[in-house]
Amino acid sequence: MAADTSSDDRGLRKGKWAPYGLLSPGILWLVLFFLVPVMILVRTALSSKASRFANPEFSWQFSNFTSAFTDYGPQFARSFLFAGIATVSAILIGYPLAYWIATQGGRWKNLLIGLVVVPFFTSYLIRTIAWTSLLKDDGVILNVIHAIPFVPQDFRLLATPAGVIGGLTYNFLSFMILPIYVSLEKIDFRLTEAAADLYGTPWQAFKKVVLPLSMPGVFAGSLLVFIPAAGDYLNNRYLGSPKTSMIGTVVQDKFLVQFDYPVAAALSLVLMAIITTMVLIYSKFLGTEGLAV
Amino acid sequence: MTKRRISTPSPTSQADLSRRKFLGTSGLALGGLALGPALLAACSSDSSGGDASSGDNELWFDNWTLYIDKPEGELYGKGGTLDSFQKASGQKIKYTEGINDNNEYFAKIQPLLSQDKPIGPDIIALTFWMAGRLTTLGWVEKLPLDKIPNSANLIESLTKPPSDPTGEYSLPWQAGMAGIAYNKSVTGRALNSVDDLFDPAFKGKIGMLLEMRDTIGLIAMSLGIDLATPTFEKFQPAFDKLKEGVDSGQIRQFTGNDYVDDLEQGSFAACIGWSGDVVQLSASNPDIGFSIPESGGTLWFDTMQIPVGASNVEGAAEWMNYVYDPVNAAKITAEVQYISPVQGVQEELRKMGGDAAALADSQLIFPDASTLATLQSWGNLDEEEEALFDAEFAKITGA
Amino acid sequence: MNEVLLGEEGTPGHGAAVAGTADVVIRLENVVKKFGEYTAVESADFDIAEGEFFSMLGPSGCGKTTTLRMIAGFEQPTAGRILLDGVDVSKTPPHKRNVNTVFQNYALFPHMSVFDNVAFGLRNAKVPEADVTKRVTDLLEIVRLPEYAKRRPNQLSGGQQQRIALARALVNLPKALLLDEPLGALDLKLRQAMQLELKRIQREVGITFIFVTHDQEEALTMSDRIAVMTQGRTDQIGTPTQIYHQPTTAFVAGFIGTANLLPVTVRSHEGTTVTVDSRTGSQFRVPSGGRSHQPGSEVTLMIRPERLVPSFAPVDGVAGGSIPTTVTSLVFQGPVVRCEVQTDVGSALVAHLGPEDDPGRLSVGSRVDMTWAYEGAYLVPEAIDPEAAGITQSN
Repeated sequence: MAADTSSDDRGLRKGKWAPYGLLSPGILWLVLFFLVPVMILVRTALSSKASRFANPEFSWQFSNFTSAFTDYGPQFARSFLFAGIATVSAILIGYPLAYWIATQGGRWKNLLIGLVVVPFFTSYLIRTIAWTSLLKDDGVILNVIHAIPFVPQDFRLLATPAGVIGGLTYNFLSFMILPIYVSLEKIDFRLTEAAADLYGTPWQAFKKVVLPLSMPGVFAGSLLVFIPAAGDYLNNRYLGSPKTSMIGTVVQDKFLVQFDYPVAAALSLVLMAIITTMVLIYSKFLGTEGLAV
Repeated sequence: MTKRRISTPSPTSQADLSRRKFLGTSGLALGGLALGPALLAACSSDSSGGDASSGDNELWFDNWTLYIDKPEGELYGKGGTLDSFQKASGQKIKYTEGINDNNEYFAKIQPLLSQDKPIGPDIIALTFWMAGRLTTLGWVEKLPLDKIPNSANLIESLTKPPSDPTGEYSLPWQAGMAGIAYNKSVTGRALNSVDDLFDPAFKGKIGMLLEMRDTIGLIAMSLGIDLATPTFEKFQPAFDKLKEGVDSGQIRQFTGNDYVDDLEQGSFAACIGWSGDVVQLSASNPDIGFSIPESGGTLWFDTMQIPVGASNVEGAAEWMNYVYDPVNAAKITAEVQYISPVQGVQEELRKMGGDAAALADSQLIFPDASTLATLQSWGNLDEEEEALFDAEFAKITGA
Repeated sequence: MNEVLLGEEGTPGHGAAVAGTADVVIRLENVVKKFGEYTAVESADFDIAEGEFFSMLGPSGCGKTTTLRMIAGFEQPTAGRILLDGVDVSKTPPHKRNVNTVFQNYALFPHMSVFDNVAFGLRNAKVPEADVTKRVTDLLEIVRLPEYAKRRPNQLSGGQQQRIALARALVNLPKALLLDEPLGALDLKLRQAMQLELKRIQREVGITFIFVTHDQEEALTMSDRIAVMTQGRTDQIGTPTQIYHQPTTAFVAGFIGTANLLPVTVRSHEGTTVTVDSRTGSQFRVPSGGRSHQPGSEVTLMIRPERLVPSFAPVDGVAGGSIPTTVTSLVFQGPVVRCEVQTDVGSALVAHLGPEDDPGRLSVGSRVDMTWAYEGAYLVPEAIDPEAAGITQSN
């Protein structure tokens, strides 16, 4: 008995470090490619530059953050507004599609999901530029819209908020469809039979059973769409106008044109902070806790 | 600045365009959570080939995409400039198309050059104002002009430009003009003044370039402001006019090279554009027109410079000398269709006959004296002034 | 909603046939179900009475689950009618049928508390919330899990989930409760406990239970009546006693318990006794079982293992017949010794020998005459393939 215990102990002691060993590549990765860059970013955000092309020197320059708040309110507001609308649109388009594939796809499921992803083999930039020719002022789509009575003659989609939001929705749509599809796919559809059996109409069965159970997918999809959309600048660059610029536009220009690394870093950090806060609040309402099937 | 080459219908150039556009804007494409400058620095050595020194006395020229002749689509194709140069000089040359945007390229090399570290290439081809910035910062070598006798063939106005008053730090590669590009099927008429761009009839159909010097330069000239000695104060009216155009909705969007698509698709009625693009675009679409406004257009040029720490200055000089021979220069012009800085190219093109000979008569490649007289080049902006210009321009473009 | 009071005593019917239409809750009229070319149910045609515990028993693929799903409304019959309380519901969607199902995997809603799971049907039926609370609480009492109302299903054991699934269906007081192999996922001990529990609950609520299972022991233990199904057909419907002792087909005989089946030919039928010829040339006298048998017809002689004894042991009653055999295996199984023997034509038979049969006198290889009492044999009115003769048992 005593011998048994001690050998168990040895086994435990040996096994004690195994989890950490398995974790170490992940931790190393996080430290190298998340923690270190964020620290560099924080350091840069608190730096000042002796001259325009000098390297930033760390100097507790908190004023970089002030300028982030005072000068770029509209861009921040647009970023979150556009990203928010794009996220909701992506849910409205992506959910029915994912639902249809998951429930009606049958043996074509994998093919259909593949088709959802295929456009995304093309580069993000090319897809966005392709949209400019789809939405061009005398293109097919606009001509159809103009054929509708009472549409003003100067109505257009390019260089408008609708264009940017459309582009964001389209570009990130598959990030919405895939997690929703996965969560729907995981649902045991005998549960909808159970709901029907318990006098639930198809709509009640969907609302009370399928929808709540697919919420983890909607939650994940929302994050995957909202976060990159809020920081995006390419859609505004090609589908927007100076009046639809987002915070990503500013960060890009600050980094690459104006060489104002400290303010650019500060803006990025503020963006990260706001997104993190929003995600935390969002997860409070829609968290995945207890939803595991 | 994006390169002033446009997509021609050939599949190769489409692919190149795609790649260029992608690289040109991909730096921050991942969600806008921008990386720190240290990481940008790390990228630089990566994209320029990894190896900072070109071994075996190889010469390394880093240039824009689609900016040299490619026989049968190959950079080193038989009979092409690179191939002929290697045969004539015995100097091996490594030619890369690593420049997509002046500012982006600067952001890459800045961390290395500011610490006196070599960046790799022996010759880089930045636009004149960026070349001027590098010169001012002391990040380029003095050129061994005595080893470049053919520089005597250069058009005089390009040898000692305001960006390099002594002419010792940069030599021109190719030049071009910014003017007004328009789509006649939308405007219904030819345009020839900057004020046409502010005609309310074209509200929401006007494009401007993200290239500040061309956009602000053209507007400033229309207001009678001289580009040779720019100060922020003097240019304020030009910014005001631009801002008004944006606020009123007259100006639809600021673009890079992609204005070409908007123009052809009719989303832009007119815009500020580059001569080289329009030469090619109008060949396939006769509705596309280009004019140098009455108040004048801007003349820009890309340069060749030797960054400090370059390992093969001798080879660089040999190359420059080679491409300033009109016979060799004409071969490049026939392909890239910009203004050649070398005198005598026009005659060489005529000798070549065929399509090349036709180019010899193009006003946009060989502007006559009266056209040239209306063109202006930007004078040097010092660091602080340039920062003010850039910041003001960013504010108007929404950044 | 049905107003049957909870706790009212059920009145389980015991006959093979349901007396009078007034008591019939569910009637299946020549119901056929095809999936493409495949016929899942060839013909289901039976009545189920109010308060009855009715089982559909058969191997997998026999059509029992499909029949249940048609009653629930998840499938529509290809032909025939299903009547619920005299009303044709063949085309009625499940949410409009007053029957409820306990699913094989329970299908509890994982994102809801136990209480909300049980309340689900009542709320969909717009029952006032005060009544919902009362009825759910009552039902949780009946399934003896009142303290679990706030838990999530995944915090419960398999047996507890099973009871919640039962409560969730029963709380709606359905015309009939449909149970699709509800005990399949439980281990043996728990399954046996739940069998008793289900019977108790059924008595307590008095609702018709329609129970699908492939486990014949389970069906025998719990049912008032059993429908034995195979390959889409209903072979026999009857009480457990009838099914066990008077199977109408060889399949039923073999599927319910263990049976020794021997092909025989009817020689004569006089009064209540039939005389048959075996393949070995012997003649046996067998009770007619209430049927008339035509001389010359091929039928099957069934002898349950507990009725087969060695000739040296005392026979309980009048002897029915005897077969010379050789012992091939003897396995001690506690109360009985399982003795396998082989007849001279090669059929294997099995006998369960008690201490009074003195199995100690047997050894493998020894010759012994196996005999049985006159009442211990039964004629299945169906021929079997001589190849399939001998021991048959379901697993």
